[in-house]
Amino acid sequence: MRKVAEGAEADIYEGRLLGIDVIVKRRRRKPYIASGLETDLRLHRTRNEARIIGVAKAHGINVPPVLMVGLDTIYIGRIDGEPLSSFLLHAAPRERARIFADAGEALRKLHDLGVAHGDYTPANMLVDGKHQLWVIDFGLAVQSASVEDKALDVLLLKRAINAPNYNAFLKAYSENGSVRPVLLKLADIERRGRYQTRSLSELVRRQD
Amino acid sequence: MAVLGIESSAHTFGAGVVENGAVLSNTKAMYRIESAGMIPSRAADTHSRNAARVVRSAMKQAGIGFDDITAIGYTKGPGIGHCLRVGMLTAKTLSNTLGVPLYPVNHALAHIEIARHLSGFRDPLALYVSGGNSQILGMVSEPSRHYNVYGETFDIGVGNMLDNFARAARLNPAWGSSVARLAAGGHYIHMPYTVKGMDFTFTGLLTCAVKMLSEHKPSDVAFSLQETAFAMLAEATERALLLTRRRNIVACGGVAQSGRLASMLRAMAAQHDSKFFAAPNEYNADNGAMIALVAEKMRNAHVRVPERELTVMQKFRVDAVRLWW
Repeated sequence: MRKVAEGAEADIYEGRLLGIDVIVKRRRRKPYIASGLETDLRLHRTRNEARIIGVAKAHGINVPPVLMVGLDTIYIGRIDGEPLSSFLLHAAPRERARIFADAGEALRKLHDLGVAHGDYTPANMLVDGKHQLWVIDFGLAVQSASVEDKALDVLLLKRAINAPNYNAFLKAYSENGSVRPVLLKLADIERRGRYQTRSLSELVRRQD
Repeated sequence: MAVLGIESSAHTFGAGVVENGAVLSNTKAMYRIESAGMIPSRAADTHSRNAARVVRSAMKQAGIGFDDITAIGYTKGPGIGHCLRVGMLTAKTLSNTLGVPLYPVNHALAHIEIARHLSGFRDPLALYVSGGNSQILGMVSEPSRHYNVYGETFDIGVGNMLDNFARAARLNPAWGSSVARLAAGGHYIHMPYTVKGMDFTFTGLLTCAVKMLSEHKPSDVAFSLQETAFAMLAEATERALLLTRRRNIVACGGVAQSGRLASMLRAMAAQHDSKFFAAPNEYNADNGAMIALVAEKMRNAHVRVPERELTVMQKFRVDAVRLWW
């Protein structure tokens, strides 16, 4: 097992287990957080993440398989792909639109299941060799998500990508009427005073 | 070449003098918050009564005369309109009388810049936490140099959340430190913890904590509320630190005066071989020196401000400000 990355809450290791390439995600102890809360977070999130990946997989969403779950450790099948954020740097516009349509469909399916992802950004999506989209990192996911939780998924992605990509995403996401309350909530959140003035980077992003 | 800065975005009217990045003076007078919270018009009245005295004492403390002032900065926003206007008028009057240029300063930017200045870090990740704001920021150079907001609150600022709770628990102002005192010796109770990537929300937590007051020991509720809120901020900051690959963190703004928050952030930074800095309380509370510091940077960068921009702006986002330095 080789440590490949350090996330905000977990250390990520890569290795082989019984002939399968695996990713091991182990939640770090955070001694600076009150111990009750710290244990709550670490153990709850591990269980929660494994459970939600299972639910998503059972409903045909492209998520990596969970192989094994410990108290604070998850063993996940490794997906051979690159992060969407780096895929975007070299993909043609049509390719990008298609991948964001897949991202829209995946999020709609998750939301229809009552699940919010919690950090739905290009950093948490992979594109494999067949240009298939995989959704990863369900560490912040919520199983019985409120409409606001779902709207924040959309808002987070909206802020992280440019307008054409967002439009491709939105078209697929809102294909059937099920997410209408989410989009109404999103409009509501965006009307909150502090977000009305657009930032420099956002203004530029709208133009590309 | 001294620069005078005037701050009046909320309950503090502050004046400070800065020369070549060195703070020569920093004085203030505060509107006394009663149990009803802050009444904008009354706070503004208090500021108008105090303005001349505070400016004079800043000059005296700095040991300079009005002739030594070469530029003036004031807080343009974000803040309370009534209060901002008093500062703006004071600054405009002085600038016209003395015939020196006037610079509108973003309040959040001033907090971050003075913390960065005192820390000596070139390009830190900044956690700005105050009553109305809670943001995680860092400087970026595209499309032009400015502070990008990596994450922020989706509803209310962490300071207002603590204030609201403190009023529900009938504590005395200043509420943040009253909550901290009440929290001492408390035990953890589970509360909603809402982090979305690098963003977070506080209203769910607040509602839950206020409800719990009727069934649990107040000290346990205060402890859990404070621990949960600060852990959320620390986690979102940690994610931004790793994502942006920065090695330094500064905390600034009123809530950065909290010793508990600072200790959490320092320990988190240490886990990633990063350094943490919080400015002395004098600069985390609202103050005039930070406004003077930014005005001096604007002056040195030869920023030209058209007359029509010399206004107040209650919702003035920090990521809309171009940095010319």
